[in-house]
Amino acid sequence: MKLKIDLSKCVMSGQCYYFHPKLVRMDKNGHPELISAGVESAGDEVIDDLIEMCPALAIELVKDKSQ
Amino acid sequence: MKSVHDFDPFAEATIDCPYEFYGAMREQAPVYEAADNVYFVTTYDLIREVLVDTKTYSSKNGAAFLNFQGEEGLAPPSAPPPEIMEILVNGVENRDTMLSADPPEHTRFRALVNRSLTPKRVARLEHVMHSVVDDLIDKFIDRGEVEFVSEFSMMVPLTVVSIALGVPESELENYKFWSAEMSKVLAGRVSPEEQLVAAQARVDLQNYLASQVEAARSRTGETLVDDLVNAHLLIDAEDGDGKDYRPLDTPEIVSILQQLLIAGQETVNYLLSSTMLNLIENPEEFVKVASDISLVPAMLEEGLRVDSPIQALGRFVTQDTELGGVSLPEGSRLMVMYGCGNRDKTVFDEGESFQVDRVSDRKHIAFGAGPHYCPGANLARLESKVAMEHLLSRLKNIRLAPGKNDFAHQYNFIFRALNSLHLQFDVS
Repeated sequence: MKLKIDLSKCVMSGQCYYFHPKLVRMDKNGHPELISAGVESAGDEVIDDLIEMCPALAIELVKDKSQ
Repeated sequence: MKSVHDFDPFAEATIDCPYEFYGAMREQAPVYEAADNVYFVTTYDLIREVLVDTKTYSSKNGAAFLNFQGEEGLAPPSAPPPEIMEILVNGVENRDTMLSADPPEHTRFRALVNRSLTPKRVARLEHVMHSVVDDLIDKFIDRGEVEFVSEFSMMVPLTVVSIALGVPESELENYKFWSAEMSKVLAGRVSPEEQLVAAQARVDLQNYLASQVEAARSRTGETLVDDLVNAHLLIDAEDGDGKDYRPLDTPEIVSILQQLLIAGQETVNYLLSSTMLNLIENPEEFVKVASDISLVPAMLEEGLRVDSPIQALGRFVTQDTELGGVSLPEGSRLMVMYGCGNRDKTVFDEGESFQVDRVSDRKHIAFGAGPHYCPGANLARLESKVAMEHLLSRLKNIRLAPGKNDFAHQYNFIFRALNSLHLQFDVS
């Protein structure tokens, strides 16, 4: 499983990078950007919290095709 | 075009329609000095710049609101006069939890509150919203007319938020009164008598909420109050090593609930009424939504953009800085003009017009951005959607009731609030 941020849904609330700064950072346009190292080392609980708190439901788990 | 020099935030014409002045500010003075040491930030990009830099632009020191009561106009907040203090001491001790806090303390409180207001949690209330909205429509549908604000848009969030908080129906009238009185004084110029009423309303609300919190401490429940009573706040461990948790105390919970109540009650009311008026004033847009109900969410986002329920909130400048080429000394007060940035034509094509199917890759800032992004956004979006869908499917040919509307707004600088909206309609 892999995390994905769907920027077409994103409302730029900034909740993801404020509440999970190790997992997501803000790019220069104010859009969120995943930090791979942080995401890989995060536990399920943290990932669930990140997904659930997005007001736009823009963060989702996607099946990794290579698996 | 108007000139920024003619801007008077307290003129009734400005209250009813500030948008021409907003346009002038964006063009003539993106950071506009409205009073001594008080600046309005008016363009979309500068607003975002302020909202994400909480170190330079703090929410502490009562930064959110200015003092609107003085004869001299907009002024930095000041201590309430003794006759108000005398009332306020009977309430619950103030705590800086959300609106008046900065990261990292703010983040710890918000993390708790966010958990109760995620899209998933809020969706649990959807069936309640459907019945609340249908019951309200049932009460007026046979008349073919309605005073939309008092009979509908005010009642939807009042009832939904009360249920979420577990406020019994018998307390609804009190709670409506407290919320209205407190919001009036937060951002409007009111008489000394009204200030006393508002202070008493604050005390009564606080004491009521404190009693709810105490009740929740000795039960198992699922309301927002129960969530907060059972929540554990992250704190620094006493030995300075690692993290620890502690429960919230009653003043902290009251502070949070008070903000959720007022913000959750007033704003949705304003959004529903202004969006209804925008639809009626733009018949082609109205037809689009009426014939395709799936446009309701996009229409509501557009309503939030063109008539943002909260037009502005403040920040406090913590160090000498420069914003948009203007030097801001430490201690300055900013008003961050969401309602103005949301019409910025460099960001939104034809930003002054209401287009229900607007597609924009840059998003409105009616809910703010960054750490203080409205925690109730998910709740507001869902209840407004449910409300509008039921209205549009049950009422047809919605129109203004002739001769009854003055389109006056609450005499308030921060909230964009129609006082009343008289409508007529056919029953489908």
